[in-house]
This record gives sequence, structure tokens and C-alpha cells, in this order.
Amino acid sequence: MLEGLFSAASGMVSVIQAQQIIINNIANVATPGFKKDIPVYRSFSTILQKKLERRESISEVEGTFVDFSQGEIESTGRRLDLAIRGEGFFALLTPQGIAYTRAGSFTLDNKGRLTTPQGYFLLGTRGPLTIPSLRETSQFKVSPEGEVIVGEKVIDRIRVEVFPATPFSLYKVGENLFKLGAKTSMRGVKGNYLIKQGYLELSNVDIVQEMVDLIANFRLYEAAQKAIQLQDATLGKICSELQ
Amino acid sequence: MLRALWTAAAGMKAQQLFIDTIANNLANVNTTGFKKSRVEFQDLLYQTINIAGGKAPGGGQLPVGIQIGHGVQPVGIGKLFTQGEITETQNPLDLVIEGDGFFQVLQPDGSVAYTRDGAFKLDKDGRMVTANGLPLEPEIIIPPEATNISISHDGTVSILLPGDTTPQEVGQITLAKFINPAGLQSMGYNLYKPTDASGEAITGTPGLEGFGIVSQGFLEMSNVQVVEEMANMIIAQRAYEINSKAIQTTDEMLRIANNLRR
Repeated sequence: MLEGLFSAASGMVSVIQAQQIIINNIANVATPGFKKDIPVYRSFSTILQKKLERRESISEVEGTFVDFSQGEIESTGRRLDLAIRGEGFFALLTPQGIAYTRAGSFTLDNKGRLTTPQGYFLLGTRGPLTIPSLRETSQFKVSPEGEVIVGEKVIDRIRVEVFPATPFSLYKVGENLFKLGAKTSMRGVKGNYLIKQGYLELSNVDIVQEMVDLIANFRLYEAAQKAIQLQDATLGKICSELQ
Repeated sequence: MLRALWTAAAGMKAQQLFIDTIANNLANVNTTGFKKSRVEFQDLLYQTINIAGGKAPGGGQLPVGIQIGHGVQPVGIGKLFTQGEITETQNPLDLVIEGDGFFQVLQPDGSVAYTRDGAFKLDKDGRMVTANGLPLEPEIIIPPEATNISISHDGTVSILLPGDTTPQEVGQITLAKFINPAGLQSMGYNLYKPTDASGEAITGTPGLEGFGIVSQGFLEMSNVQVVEEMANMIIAQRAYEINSKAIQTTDEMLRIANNLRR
């Protein structure tokens, strides 16, 4: 009897966790290059099987899974806005090592290096991408393959890293950045991508989907509460009958 | 649970800032030389409960981790220095820069400020000044008896004196540009000030070395697109709304938890 109470309570706890994940997606609906998180619950069959085997019957969020699907691409007309259509990430040099991002709104720093709004450097094949002559910033062009052309000359190529199909190799660190998981060292996989200059990739959060999830999650919470109250009432009845 | 409340509140604050920026852009839709601003957002820190690829309690490898985000934060508001629409005014002292560059004007404190607003006037000494009375740098003086002022694409200012048939050169407009114009500080009055982020001003002749050309008799309007701003406003409003709904839902859930024990 008490076991049922605990499993309903654990249901409420895991719903709260999922709620936090959904709300974080909602908060980032306007964050460029944001990839939404999807909470993964232990599947019903696993729970059922565990129950049949008379083991634990506790529900929990098993993990978060990042949905790496393409976000909408918006035209901004700004030369330093770059969007990746397809797979891959821009490689950035941060004080904490190399990080990856899909948010492509770059600016130039006072030494002509391409930086993110946080001040991290965009990497080319030969270290941070730098416009050699400060007078030539207006002739800055990026080809769909990622070649950086200043004037008529190709000065470098943007380092776009494509990771193997498993989406679990990257984890989020905030500031629109991803880092490579400790266990994955694979890189340099050939991928299909096009770089679009003058465009920005928006967040891939679908506000309607998030609203539906928010409501569904809320009802789950309510149902778990009712389950607890019901069991409490049953227990109460037993106690009073005994008197 | 409270974390979800703060996350949604951060979302509302971010959208508020988004609306503030849109409102300023829209207010300046008819300001000559105005450049629209854009807010940049980033996600906040993640609480990593389990890292993917770590050891599972049973001994296997975890295929997915648990990362819970904490919302959103603005990281900067940058100006977009795209070309604004160009309108013809036929006023000989209205100038437009087609391409990169800023006019340089001298402030009362002796420092140079930069502007894209080319609606120049003459002051009582015949100097070319902005609508706020700041003289162009280097100074250009038009004598009162001049009958015709012509400014060429490369910024050469020539005048015709009564009785003369050949124009006389009185000055040269130089432009300035910055490696990172988004790093300029807006001072209001259509003026910008250089910062460490923008880098030092690089001066040059219009039409050369990547500088835009100067055209006489035209003005650069604001680069704000009303339709675009309206679309952004709808997005921001809806995002604000759904974040407030997230707060309400969380609040409701707290109520449910409180009602567990009647």
C-alpha cells in the first residue's frame, strides 16, 4: 500500500523535473541556434516489467535528449551573420578550450578576429579567423562551403565540425555552447552542410508543442496527486474501520 | 519547482528587453541615418545531473545524460549597420554615404564623434554643421557669396563664385570606418563614439579602400523595416505570453502539492 504512495510521489517529482526542462525550452524560444531538450522517461514497458518482477516501481526522468533538428533560418542581411543549413557546428575558441555552437551572429573585434557576442573566437583551419587588412572588412564574403573570401582572395575556411550520428556526444554548457563529451573523440566526419551568409538560425523550439507538453505535464502532476489522495483516503478508511 | 518559476521569469524579462528594443527601433523609423538594434540572447547555465557516456548504476554506459537548463539571458544589443533607404531631397547640403563609413563631426569638448546622418546645414560662419550644430571634421567653410555648391562622389566640395566659370575647391570630406561598428557606443543625437570593442577609427577618401561614396542631394533614411519589427513584436508578445503561462502552470502545480494533505 505504502509502495503505491511512494511511486505516485516519485511521479510528481519527475514531472517537476520535466516541467523545468520544458520551461527552459520556452524561455529560449528567441535564442539563436538554441536546440531544445526533450525529457526522456523510462518507458512504460520497462516500468511494467519491473513491477512484474516486484522490483522498484519508481518513475523518473531518465535523461534529457537534445533535439538537434534544424531551426528556422531568418534573413538578417548582416554580413557577419552566418547560418549552417544541415549538419555541423561552428568551432569556437573559449578560455575553457574548444566549444561548439550553432548561433552564428559574429562580430569583429578590434584586431579583426571574428567573435561571438560573448567574445569567443570563431576558428578556421588555421586558428582564429582573422581579417588580415582592417580596411577590407566590407569585402568579407563566405562561400556556402565555408571559404572566407576577402577581396578576391580565399584567406581561410571556417571550421565546421560534424559529429557522428549519435547525438549524445555533445552536452550543453550554456551561452549557446556545446562541449564534446569525455567519451567521444570522433570528429571530422564528412557531413552535408551549407553556410549561408546574412542569415541566422533561430531556436528550434516549437512554441505550440511546448505549450501542449506543459499542459500534458500539468495534468500528469494532477493525476499523481489524485492517486496519492486516493491511497491516503483508502488508508484512512482502513484505520477508521479498525477502530 | 521554484527553479521553474525563475526560469520562466528570466524568459519574460528577456522578451521585455526584446520589446523595448523593438519599440526604440519603431520610434526611429523616420530618423535619418538611424541604425536598428538587435538583442542577442544566450541560454543560461545547465545543471548536469548525469553526464551522457558516464557509468550507469547497473554498470552499463548511460546513453543520455540529464541536463536541466535555467533559462535565458541577453548577451548584447548590437546595432545593425546595413544601408538604409535613400531618398532624394535635392538639397545641396544633404549627403548620403552609399556603402561603409561615417561622417566625422567635432564635439564641443574637442573629441570626434561619428554619424551616418548627412543632413548638413551652414552655421553663421559658413561652416558645414549637423542639425545639432556640430561642425564637420575636417572643417569645410562655404563662403557666403558662393552661388553653387557641388560635392563629388569622392567627397570633394567645390563652389562657384559669382562671375567665375570654373568651380573652386574648398574642402574634402573624409570618412571614417571601424573594424567592428557594432561595438560603437550610441550617444543619441544620431552620434556614435568609438570604444575598445569597435577599434580605432580608420579614415579615408570616399570611394577608395572600401569606403562608400558620397552622394549629394540625398538622405539616408532609417534602416528599420516596419513589417519586420511588427513580426518581431508579435513573436516577442507571444513568447512573453507563453512564459507567463509557464509561471501560472508552475504556480498551479505548487498549489496541487500544497493540497496533497487536506
